[in-house]
Amino acid sequence: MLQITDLSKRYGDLVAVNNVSLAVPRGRVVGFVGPNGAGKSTTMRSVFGLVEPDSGSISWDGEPVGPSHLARFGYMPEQRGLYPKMKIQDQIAFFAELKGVDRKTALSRAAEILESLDLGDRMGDQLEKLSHGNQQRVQLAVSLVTNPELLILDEPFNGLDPVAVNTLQDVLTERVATGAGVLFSSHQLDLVERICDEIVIIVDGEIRAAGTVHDVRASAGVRHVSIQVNRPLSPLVDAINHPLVEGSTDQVVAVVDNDNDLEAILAQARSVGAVTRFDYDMPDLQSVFTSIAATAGADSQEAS
Amino acid sequence: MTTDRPSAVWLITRREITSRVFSKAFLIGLGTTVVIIFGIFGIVSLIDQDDPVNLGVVGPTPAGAVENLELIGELQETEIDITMLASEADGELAIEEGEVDGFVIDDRLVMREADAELIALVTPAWQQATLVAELGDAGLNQSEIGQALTNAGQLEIVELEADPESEAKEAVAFLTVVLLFISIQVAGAYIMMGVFEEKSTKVVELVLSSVRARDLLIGKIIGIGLLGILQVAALAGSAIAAASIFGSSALPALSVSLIGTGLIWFVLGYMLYGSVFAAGASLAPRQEDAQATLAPVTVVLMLSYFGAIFSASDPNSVVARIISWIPLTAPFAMPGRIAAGDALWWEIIGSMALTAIVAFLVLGLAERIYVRSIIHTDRKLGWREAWTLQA
Repeated sequence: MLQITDLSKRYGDLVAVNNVSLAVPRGRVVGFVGPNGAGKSTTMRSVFGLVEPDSGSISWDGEPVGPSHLARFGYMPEQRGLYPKMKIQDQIAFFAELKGVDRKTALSRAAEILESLDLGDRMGDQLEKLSHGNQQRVQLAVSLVTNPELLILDEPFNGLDPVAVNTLQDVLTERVATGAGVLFSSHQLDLVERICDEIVIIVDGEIRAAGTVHDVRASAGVRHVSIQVNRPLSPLVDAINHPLVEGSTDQVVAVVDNDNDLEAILAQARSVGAVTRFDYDMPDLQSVFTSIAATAGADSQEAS
Repeated sequence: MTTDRPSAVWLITRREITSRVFSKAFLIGLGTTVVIIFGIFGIVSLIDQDDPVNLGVVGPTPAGAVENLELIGELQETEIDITMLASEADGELAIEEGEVDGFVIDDRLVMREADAELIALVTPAWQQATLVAELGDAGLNQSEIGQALTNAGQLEIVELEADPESEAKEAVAFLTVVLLFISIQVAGAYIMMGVFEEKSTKVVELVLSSVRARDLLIGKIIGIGLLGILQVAALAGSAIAAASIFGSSALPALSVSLIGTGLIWFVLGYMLYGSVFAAGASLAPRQEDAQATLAPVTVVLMLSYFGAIFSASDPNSVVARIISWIPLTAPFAMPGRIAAGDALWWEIIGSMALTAIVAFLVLGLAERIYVRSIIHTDRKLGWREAWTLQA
């Protein structure tokens, strides 16, 4: 398990991350979500020593992460980049060798992984001869070639076509099944909700929510109640005494605190007219994230 | 599956070499330089070749005139060909066709126009022969006349610079400085482009997720340095080959020990300048920035080169002696003096040691800047900022 504890890093007056703690257990996919500049990349880079934290600790299976552990981790940086003139099989093998794999094994694993990513016929091509999408695949191959115990992927879905998104999703599932831990950041919350076992939400360098997708959605403490009626909506909108997230021609979605009595709301709606549909659920990740980000924004404005 | 340091450095070194040694740019660059070296030796040997003097002779000549001429030619190291011609008309035709430079008929020397060299050769030969004949007529015997003439006004030749190869040595000194400059500059440019490429393509982020920045720098410096040594050896080898093919008089001065010390100076100069190039390139995310940051270094490198060229032509001067001790200029100036045969052994050892110490210090400073700045791929840094930066 990767354990990041109380990680802090400032650049001059700018606080990049502040007391960030998060865990990535083996066999779990953890999604790392936050607005741009929230501290996701700083956190991920510090695992590889690319950022020197001011304070805090990072451990893998209880041992402080050092150079010997890095050989067991795979990384895809947010800033993609490989050697443009290097042949792709050689290139992938080179990065495997840097992690201690012997040359022969490195070359054969590079070949295998290129086959699995449908690049088997391009192995001898220079990277720059490949299309942008295929270069992305090579980048992914580099992060996977050593069969890492921990995968850290910074915005891995960025710039991928839908087919590649599915491939990556399959690959992650497969790795996790073999006991690897995965931490990836993304702005695509629907994807995160679908793939991740757990999520961590970071805003302004601080963790605002963490846990299973269900827990995080529940942590909002509200339910989204959607009511459909067969009448014009305006009397219903007036009758519901809760903030609305949506109001279409025949349906409203209201945000209702968990301790509110849903029966009362249903009764209220019925007093306006016949209710054709009434259901409720926890807010989706997008709504939870939006409200957390908004609250955090308000907090920091108050603070300043 | 742990990566220990030597093997990480070795992997980087291997990549630096294999990714370059087969590249078109490297092979073309090496090939071009070899061609240029052969070209220089070829041209020099053409210029050096003295045209033989062709003299036509019509009719009888004073006894001993032709022998005198050959003797004078030998003394002046000029080859003289003599052609017998039937008539004055034939002589004029031979001049017309360039077969002879001039011809002698009776007591006249006929040329297209006054040729100082020809006059200086022919006149004394004929004068002496005529004089001997006339003195003979006056009753002196031949051997007495010969004796008298041989002793008369003969000056002993004294050379102050007793080294018969001094010109050749100067040429080799010049060549040594040029080759070292080219090699160090090319290797420095490779370092700069290599560091810059890793930074601008952001691949450095991935490399540094497995390898320490220090190892990346050291591996790169060693790899490109080995290529540079290969290049220096190839250039020195082709200089020797060209010198022997064209029968250059420079050949004796091109010794194994000169090439040996030349290689040592390459390594020292390369460490000194290459590490600064690496540090400079690590500051800049764009090529223009890299070049601007490194402009002062390039200026120093050029000035050192010109200083060394100057000292190669006058290796004994005070300036030459001084700059062969200053570590920035020593890698060019001292080999020039060594090639000119002017440097004393303790000067060579001392200057090498001093340069090596400074090169290691500079490498240490460059490493600090490189390690701190290479990972910042997003913006241009100043030297001072990089010095205090944190990852």
